[in-house]
Amino acid sequence: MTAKPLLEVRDLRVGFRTGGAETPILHGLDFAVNPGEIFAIVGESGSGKSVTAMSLMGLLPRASARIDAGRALFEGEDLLHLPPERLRAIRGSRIGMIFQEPMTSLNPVLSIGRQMTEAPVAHGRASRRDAARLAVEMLERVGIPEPARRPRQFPHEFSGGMRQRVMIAMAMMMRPSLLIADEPTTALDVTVQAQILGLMRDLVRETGTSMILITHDMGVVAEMADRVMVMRHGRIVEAADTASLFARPTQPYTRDLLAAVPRIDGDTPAPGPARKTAPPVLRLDTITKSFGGARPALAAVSLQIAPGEILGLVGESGSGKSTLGRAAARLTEVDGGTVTLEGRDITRLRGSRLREVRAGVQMIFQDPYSSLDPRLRIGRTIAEPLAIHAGLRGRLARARTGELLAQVGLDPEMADRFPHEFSGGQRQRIAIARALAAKPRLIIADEPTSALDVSVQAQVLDLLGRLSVERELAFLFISHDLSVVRKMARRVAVMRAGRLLEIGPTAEVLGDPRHAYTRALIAAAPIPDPAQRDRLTRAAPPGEYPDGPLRQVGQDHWVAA
Amino acid sequence: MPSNASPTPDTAANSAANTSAPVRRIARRPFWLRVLGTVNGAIGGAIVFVLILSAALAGWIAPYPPAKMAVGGRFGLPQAAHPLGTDEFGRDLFSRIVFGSRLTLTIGAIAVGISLIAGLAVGLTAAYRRGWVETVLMRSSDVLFSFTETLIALACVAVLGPSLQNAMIAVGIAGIPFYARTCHSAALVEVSKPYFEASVAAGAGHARLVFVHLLPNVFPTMVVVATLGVSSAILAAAGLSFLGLGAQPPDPEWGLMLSGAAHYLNRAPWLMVVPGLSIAVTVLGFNLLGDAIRSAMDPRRQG
Repeated sequence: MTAKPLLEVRDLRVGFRTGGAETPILHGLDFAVNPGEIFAIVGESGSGKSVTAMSLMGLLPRASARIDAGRALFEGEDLLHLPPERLRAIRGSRIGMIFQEPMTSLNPVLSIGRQMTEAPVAHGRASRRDAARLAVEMLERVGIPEPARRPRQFPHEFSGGMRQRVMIAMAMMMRPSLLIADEPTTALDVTVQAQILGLMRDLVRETGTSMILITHDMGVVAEMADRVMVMRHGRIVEAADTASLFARPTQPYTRDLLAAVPRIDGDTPAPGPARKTAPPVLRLDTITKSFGGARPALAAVSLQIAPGEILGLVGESGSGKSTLGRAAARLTEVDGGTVTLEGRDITRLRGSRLREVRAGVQMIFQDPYSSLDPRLRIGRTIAEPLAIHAGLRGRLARARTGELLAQVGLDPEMADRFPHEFSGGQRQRIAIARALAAKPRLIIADEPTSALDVSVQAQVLDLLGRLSVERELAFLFISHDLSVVRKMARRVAVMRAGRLLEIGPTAEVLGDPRHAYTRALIAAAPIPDPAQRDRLTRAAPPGEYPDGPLRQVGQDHWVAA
Repeated sequence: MPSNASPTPDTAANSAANTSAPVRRIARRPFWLRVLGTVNGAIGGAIVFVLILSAALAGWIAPYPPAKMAVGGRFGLPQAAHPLGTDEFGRDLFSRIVFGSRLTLTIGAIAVGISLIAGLAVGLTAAYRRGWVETVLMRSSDVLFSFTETLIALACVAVLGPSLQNAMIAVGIAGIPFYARTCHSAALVEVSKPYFEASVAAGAGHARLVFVHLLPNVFPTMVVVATLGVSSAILAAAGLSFLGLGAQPPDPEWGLMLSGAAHYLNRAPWLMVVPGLSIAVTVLGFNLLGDAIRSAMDPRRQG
């Protein structure tokens, strides 16, 4: 790379004002993006990766943020010190942007065509008619079927993945020399993510556009980037070409980060001693549930969980996996089938008898910010099940709450604090402590680490695994992420569109998937290893999969025919 | 907005390094300081404070009893003995305004209290019970909502008979649908949050779910609604009194004073200007205060 860099950032320093004081966020970044390369900025939350992108685009909140120093030379102009109207001319024409949320980054009341042609017409690059023709071309290029009739449609007529394709098409309309993509696939299902990543890579290659890819996901970096910059606390930890960074990370932080990433080709808990004799702690029999749509949310799903077992439940959005978990906890009423908890049919229990058995199943939710009552001290939140079921109050409850906090790795002294004083990982630990307080035999964990940074996720997963062993606590571990499930669960179930498609021992299901959909899921999961790049299947998976009754294909291994 | 833009980026990063380390406690100014520290809050707070002071100390502040007539001193211009002049019965206008603030505040408090308590009961019940209970409660409040508040208040007074007390009740009843609706939608948000479901899953009973989780989380919203509602309740009650359906003579109620003064608009315009301004300033004060409370409660505007 001897060519002059397309973008050269020198000593970028940004601060945010809070109250009267100014907190520095970026402490002097130096980096360069070469023409035609994919440059990844990777980091955990609070690393400053998005602030970096926003300062380049002039999108920092003007009221609270200030660029203290630095230059960002892009095609001979300093982006940081351009007058706003000049920057606006560059933005959207020579620099394109793709954001995380495909659901909110398109204007819902304007047609796709109108939004796509807006920029070329506004920048005087094309007449309305030429722009419209270009729009159809771009839609076709990003793989949208029937591109000719799409410009008249509105965003709500597109799925999330399709919208992100439209966003990419829109960004490419102006043939920008630099694309800035901020977590472009984080909100998408894994099979869709694989397609979008492949599409972006092909586009960049073909058009010679450079791309800054901002992500938290080492797998995505490995699949996409030519060079990587790892950030932490507003500083560059290290920057290198992708292959050598993954092969020989020089900084301890990078090593830890890479080690914390669960891998779909990683280890899985060995199948434990067979516990066939023990009655299952949870049995779901032909559970059906409909929310009134065309297809049921759950169609005759059956499974069981042995005491102390972690069963992974995998599926994409809309698969019904969360509904199944809620049905098991009796948070959702089922239309048909039975929920049996420790040999007792709880499907139709009501009132106080339901409340009594509820202690046996507890839930851990995805969002650590809304899963604790913001107005209660966390000690009271954790003590709630104690008060309900054991009548424990006062000093006794306090002592027990302290024990629980210690068990999840928190300081018992923290019981008097409010949820807003804790980080996401800590809140999730508090939620776990609350679940434990009821002394359940089964915990439904619905994406318990999806909102957490990867290093925090590793700690929380370890905690859950340890608790399961120590207390012979069974888990229904719901996740969209096969790699996480592989790390946690001995047995895994795959769901799609309300049906169970495959269930069996994790090593077998992931090592020798017998269902086409399981294979598609595995093929789409990014692997944090640049050497395995180009493995992702780009082709859209077929819309139809066999989803008939389960047929046995191995010991404990069942597949829908 | 990505989380990185949060003003305290070190909190999440700390936890990544060491989850057992406490996150730095964010020093926040106390709530009342955040309310009164704004221009709106300061002005609104000052107006409401003066009003409360005048109501509490009316006996000391007012130079005369509010109903004391003086035959010789009708329609007196503002002067040293009567700073705001005298009315058609020679009563001291300043004293009547001061004593009237008592009635105004009482009306605001009682009417809003009725709306608030009934609205909370209806809204919480509907959001918590769901099903047909919700349908019945919320649809009937929609029906009431489609009439203007004044019309409902008029109907109530027509049934109950005109008096200050009945006017308060009428205004309170007329406000219920709005409070119920606001409370219902705020409660629906909370009911669907994981912390509430976690409590359900833990086996919490009705009382715990409603009074420990739901009510405290809905209450802040309702405080804002109630503060803003005081002004419209005062206006509505003044309106009823003006029409002769609320306070009866010789009560020094501002709306009633307006109505009495209307006959003498040409001869003694200050008789109308003073109570009118009093109502306007009071309404303004509660609106500003309510606005400031709302801003201070908005988590996006903390500083």
